[in-house]
Amino acid sequence: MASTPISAASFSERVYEWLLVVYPAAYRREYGPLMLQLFRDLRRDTWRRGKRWGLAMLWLRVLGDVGTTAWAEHVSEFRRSIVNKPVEKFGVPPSWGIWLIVSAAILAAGLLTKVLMSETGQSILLATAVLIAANLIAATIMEVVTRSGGAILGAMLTLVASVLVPVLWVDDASSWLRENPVNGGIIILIASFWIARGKSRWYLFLVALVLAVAQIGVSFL
Amino acid sequence: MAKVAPDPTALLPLTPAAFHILLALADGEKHGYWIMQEVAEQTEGKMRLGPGTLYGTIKRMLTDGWIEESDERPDPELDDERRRYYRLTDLGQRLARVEAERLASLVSVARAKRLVGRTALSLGVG
Repeated sequence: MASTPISAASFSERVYEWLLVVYPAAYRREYGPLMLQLFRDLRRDTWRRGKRWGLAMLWLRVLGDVGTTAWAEHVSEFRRSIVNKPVEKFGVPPSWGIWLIVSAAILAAGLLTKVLMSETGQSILLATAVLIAANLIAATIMEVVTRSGGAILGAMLTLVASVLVPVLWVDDASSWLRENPVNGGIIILIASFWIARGKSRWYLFLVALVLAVAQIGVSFL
Repeated sequence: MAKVAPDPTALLPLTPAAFHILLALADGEKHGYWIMQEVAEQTEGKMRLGPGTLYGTIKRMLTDGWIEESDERPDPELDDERRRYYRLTDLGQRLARVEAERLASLVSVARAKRLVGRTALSLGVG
């Protein structure tokens, strides 16, 4: 029986094993060894039938398979995490991260209000007060209605980080808030890194990134 | 409270991969590579499931209760113990049947419209 040269066989398997990192971690833990075993069987049979040409065709098929199914598994993982919110897999309860981002969206809307009020001649402090009140009321409603902790905490984090810190920290807070519009966006980015770190929660980071960019854009209006 | 069995017709149509896996398991439990070979044989090599497609579909079918893992091994001496065997559940069997019936009725329509020429004539349909 013709067997694959050992170096080619082990190289193929090593590359395939390495390719499996594109799948979500939980999926990889459960099915990675089985997929590798399957690839090993496939590679062995393909070599017996078609030698190098067969192996090349197998790799073409496998690359297409990995490309399409890894994406599908990430989407599936995302849906599952939204529905089930597996608390034990997060460093912090997932609702905290989600509410942080929700409150960031409210904050961005509040900043828009602030800018519009400033343009119509209203006081910047009044506009900031409206922003804080809107944020906290929305967070409280979310927390009461959904009965999940984290909404108020998330709102407070974004408020403190992007509004109250500069107010307490800078002498001329009004002009600082006007002239340094990126502070909230940067803080949201840092927060999203904190949420996403080592947890494969890339989508939280993506959403936060969009929000941060939107906030920075709005602040420049 | 008794669990209500889901209506398999509500789950139709199945994806080709899922239906072929159900068909492969219809005559007994099999492991992943065996399923893959069976599907290639059923389709005369036209459908070759990759490892990602196979295990992605198996994962969803396990979650939805169409198939289940089996602890039994045909012969532990001959078999790799790392392999996992799968078999149809009751729901999976009903699902395979209703999907096969759905496809058969589609083929009847195609025959009636003479889209399946020779077969239609030899059966005297249409």
